[in-house]
Amino acid sequence: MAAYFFASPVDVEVKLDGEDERKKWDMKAEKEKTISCPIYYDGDSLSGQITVRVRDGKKLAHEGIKVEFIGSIELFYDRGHHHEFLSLSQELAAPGEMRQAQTFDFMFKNVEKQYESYQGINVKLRYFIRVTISRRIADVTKERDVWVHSYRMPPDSNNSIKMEVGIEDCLHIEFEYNKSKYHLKDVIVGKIYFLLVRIKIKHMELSIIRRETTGSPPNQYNESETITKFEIMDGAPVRGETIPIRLFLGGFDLTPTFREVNKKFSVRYYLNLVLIDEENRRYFKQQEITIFRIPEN
Amino acid sequence: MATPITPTEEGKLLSESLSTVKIQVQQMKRHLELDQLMDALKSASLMLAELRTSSLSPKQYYELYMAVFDALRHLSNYLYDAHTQGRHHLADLYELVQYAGNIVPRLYLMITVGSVYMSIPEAPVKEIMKDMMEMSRGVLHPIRGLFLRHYLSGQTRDHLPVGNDPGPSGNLQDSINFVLTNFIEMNKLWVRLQHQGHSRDREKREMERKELRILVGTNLVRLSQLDGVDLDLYQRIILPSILQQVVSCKDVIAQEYLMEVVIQVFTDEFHLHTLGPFLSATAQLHPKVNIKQIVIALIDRLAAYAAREAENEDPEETKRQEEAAARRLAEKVKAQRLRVREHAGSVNGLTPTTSVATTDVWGSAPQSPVVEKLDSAESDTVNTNGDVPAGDVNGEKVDKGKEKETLVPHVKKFRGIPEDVKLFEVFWQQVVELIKARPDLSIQDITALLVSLTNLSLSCYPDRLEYVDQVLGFAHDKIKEYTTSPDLHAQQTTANLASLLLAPVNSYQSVLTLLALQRYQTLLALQPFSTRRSLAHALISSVLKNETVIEAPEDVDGILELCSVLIKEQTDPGAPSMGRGSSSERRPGGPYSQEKEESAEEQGWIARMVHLFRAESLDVQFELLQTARRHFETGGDRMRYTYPALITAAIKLCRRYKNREHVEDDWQTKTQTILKFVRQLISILAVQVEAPSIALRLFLLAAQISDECGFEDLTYDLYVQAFTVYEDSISESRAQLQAITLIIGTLQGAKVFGEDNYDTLITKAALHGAKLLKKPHQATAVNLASHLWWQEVPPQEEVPQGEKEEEEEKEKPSPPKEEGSVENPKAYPHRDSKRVLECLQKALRIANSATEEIVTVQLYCDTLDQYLYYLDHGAPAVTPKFVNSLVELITSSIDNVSSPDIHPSQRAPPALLEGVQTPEMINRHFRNTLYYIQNKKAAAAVEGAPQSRWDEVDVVGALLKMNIPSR
Repeated sequence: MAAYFFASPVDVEVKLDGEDERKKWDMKAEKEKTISCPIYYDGDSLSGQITVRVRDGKKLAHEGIKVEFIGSIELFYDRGHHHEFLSLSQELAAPGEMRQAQTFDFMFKNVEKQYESYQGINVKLRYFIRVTISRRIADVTKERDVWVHSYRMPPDSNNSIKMEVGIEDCLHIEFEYNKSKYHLKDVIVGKIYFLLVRIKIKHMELSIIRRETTGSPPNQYNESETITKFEIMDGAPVRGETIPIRLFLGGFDLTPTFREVNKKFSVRYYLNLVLIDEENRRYFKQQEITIFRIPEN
Repeated sequence: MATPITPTEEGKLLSESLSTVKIQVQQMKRHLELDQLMDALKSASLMLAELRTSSLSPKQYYELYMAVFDALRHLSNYLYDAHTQGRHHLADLYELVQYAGNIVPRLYLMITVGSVYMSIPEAPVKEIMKDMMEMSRGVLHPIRGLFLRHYLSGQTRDHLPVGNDPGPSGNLQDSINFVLTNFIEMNKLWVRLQHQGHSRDREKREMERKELRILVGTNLVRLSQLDGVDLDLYQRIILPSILQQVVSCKDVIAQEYLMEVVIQVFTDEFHLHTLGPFLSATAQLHPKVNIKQIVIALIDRLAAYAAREAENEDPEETKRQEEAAARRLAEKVKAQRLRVREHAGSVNGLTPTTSVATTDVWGSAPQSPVVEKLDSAESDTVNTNGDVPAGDVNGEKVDKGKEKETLVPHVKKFRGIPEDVKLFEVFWQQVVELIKARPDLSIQDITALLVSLTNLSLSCYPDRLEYVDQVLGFAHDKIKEYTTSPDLHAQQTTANLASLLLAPVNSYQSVLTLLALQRYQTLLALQPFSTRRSLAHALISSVLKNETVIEAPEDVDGILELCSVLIKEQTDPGAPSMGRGSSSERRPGGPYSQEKEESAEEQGWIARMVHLFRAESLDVQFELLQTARRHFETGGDRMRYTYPALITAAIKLCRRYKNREHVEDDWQTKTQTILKFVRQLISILAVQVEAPSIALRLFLLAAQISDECGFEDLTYDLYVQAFTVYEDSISESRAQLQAITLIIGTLQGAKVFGEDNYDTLITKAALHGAKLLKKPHQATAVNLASHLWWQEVPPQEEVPQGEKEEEEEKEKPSPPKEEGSVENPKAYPHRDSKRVLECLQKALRIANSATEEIVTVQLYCDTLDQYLYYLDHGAPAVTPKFVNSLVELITSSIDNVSSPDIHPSQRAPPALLEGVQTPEMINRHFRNTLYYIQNKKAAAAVEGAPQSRWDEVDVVGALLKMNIPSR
């Protein structure tokens, strides 16, 4: 019964124009469920129809219906506090009474979407359409997520990463990644050159690590997540050996690098080169790479 | 890894891995059937993950690999079909499989997809090849890497491009680089395997590596199987890369194996043109590498190739070439020997120094660069043939090849070796370099190398004597160098040196060729007894087998010098196994203690060889014999075997002189000289080596010849010598009888003597006969001696009927049929029937005095034969009545003999003839005699001769007695 009382007395449906033609993004929802969201890009207009259906032919009195387009950052440690960095609103209907289903058109023209959608461990950046039917007791709201991708111009300078590292008199290697900035479907190509090997290395792997930083000091939270571990060498190298690296990024669930998104969080990517010796000691070197999105063709 | 894994655990691990593979393969197949490629790849990846293990031994890993390999073939087939049917593009898949997180499965998948992709037309083959090769570098674990690369090599094998397209589809050059790189990397891994783990497991690891070596070697096989690889590519790219890798890996097992593989997999043609680089690389190998084995393998391969080529060539052509070679060889031998001969006189004493000088040339040559090396070789050649007009043929040989090249576009080949490839020179130079560069090379190895080198030279350049000589000289130097080393006397070294020396013996048709090899003798002299002996055996048997006629005294000298081990008393100890000490410290005179039989056989060979010392010119022939004698006289007891042959040969020579008496003016003096020579030899035989019976026979033989030639004094002297030998040295009664018989036989035919001399001799002979110890012997001898007084002139036309066995015996030295001697005023034909009768009667008397009846009767029978002979030949004093009475005598006493109660042990002792005289035999003998008499009588009656003496012979009684029906 309670459900009956508290159940929303209306059905609100948000339909977006050209929704079917858009690419979709499967957004993770609770319990392994995913919600398929259309992808929008920065500057895209959002338009559509909102249909409000009254149940059982009852009439619905409301104090106005509005539609908002909201971009918000939700920090999980700070649950409930949503920081909205974008909020556009349109009035759909003035306060009144609804007796039957009604459809409203809406349109947010050329919306600037400053950030990309992101769903991380401690933080979520989301864009959504929110329809609010204001009522005296409880507002009826309906949210509809969209996913936002944005292209950034490919960086002008894209130097290779080249570095010589080592442990004195023990291990000396030189590694090189062909770029410092990769797009999402890029390939990391590189090589490791062994200058000195005095330890018995068992194998070597390259991993991609995503580090999510939320908050600002001193209350900063870091979450590191290994996207992939990619073995690039098996067996013990000797001096003078060169090991090739090639890692296709396209298959991994990557996002572009985000730095200081709205001063709330950052998502950074690192390449971690790990050497494991026969006693399972690990020697590693992390190197940040920048990941960016380019238009898909 | 640190904990050792026991075999049982290993087995368990393997079976676990195998079962995982099995499960995954099934899954993969199911997915493939359902066209679920992603899932199939996932299963494949899981299956391949089993190959990441470090716990299996190479053998077990191989088992696992094979299981996986089969499964991947299934996948390959699917991928090919999927691509051609447009379901999946291989380029996409190639990227897709690279997401696999572990490198080993990833690379296997990549190679699987990549190699299928390579088989598709229009595929960017070049790119794929490069990429797979590059990515494979990531696997550095030796075993996993080796197998992975083996898979790479195996999968791509059929798709390697062999064209010359510069575009993305790749060309031959790419393929070569691909295989070469793979080879180099695999070799590195293979070598690295050696340096892993504990040093105490070294042996185990070495064994494991040997199990794995085929994986590395396969690459070289692939290279050799690539279509379109020509000499140029091989020479310019392939071989240098391989050699560079082999040399730089500094690993014994790898170097030995790979060099061997290179030799075996590439064609002979290639080897012929790349000897230089190959051999110089060999010189740089690890000190522990068995270099000898490598070089020998190469030499053997080329020698075999030459032999094979020779077979394949047009037989006519081959024959022509071989003949030409033989001719060149002969010329060269001649020239060489001429030179030696010329120098022999003046430089004789200096020979050691000259040899040292030439040795120096060889010894120092290696230190100088190539050009100088060849120069010195050339100068030696010129020097060798310097004095000879024909010498320039050889002197310019080095240039000859080039000349021919310019004249004829097609490079001529001799036994498959192109003439522009200086096979031997290259080998020689390289081997010398090698030996120099590797002072640690043992003498065993050096000698083995030299043996191969010699074989090569002999089979490819049969006419290039200087090559062999060069090798021999080098061997000689090396032996000198190693005098103090115990290795010199190792069995192996000795065997090698023996075969080094043996090779020319077996190869050259004529052993005389050896004499042209200046250093042969010097080298031979350094060998231990057993080697020298077996070589001498080989030498002689070669002479005998090929019936090499040795014509010149120098040759005789040379050959006998080479065989001196068999001829002379050796100063070093006979037993080769004791030859541990240096051969230079000679132990004084151990008695020549070889087994008698063996030594007799050896000497027999030498004796046989003597008969091959044949010269057209009689004077030279004599010289040959004298030379031989000079050698033989040092032989001590061996003279027993060698002298008779020499003597026989000398006697033969006498005959030849005699036959040419109308041509040769001074044949008499010469023959006399020879006979004196013979006499000397026989005396030595009689006195020094105590071979009286043969000496006696030879004296008699010589006497006969002398007799034929008409030298009375000499003949007399020879008889006297024979008697002396008889008197001094023959003591055994049986031998005495035989000796006397022989003397009587020869004397009977003597024609040269005057009355006095002859009388002296025959009286002496008869006397000796009568003085024999045993009665039967006496009787026999006296019977025979009777013939000395009845020399028979053999009728020209009528062949004398062998009347009795004894007859034949004594007729042995049948006098030559010459008119002249019959008419000369000598004793011949000496006839005195009275003395004959006396002898016969004396024989009867002796017979009568014999103790045993059977002996008496037998002797009677024998004497009866003699009587009949003389009767038949018309000796006046021998009248039928003697015959009659003797027949009667025998008839009366024969019964006593035939009585069966005579014990077998009492049989008549054998007389001249061997065999047992049984009563039946005597009986039959007598009967036969009677038959004979009967026949004679009948014949006489038919002829109707007026007064045949046979008429008077009366044997009726005897016939009756013996149950012979009278006619």
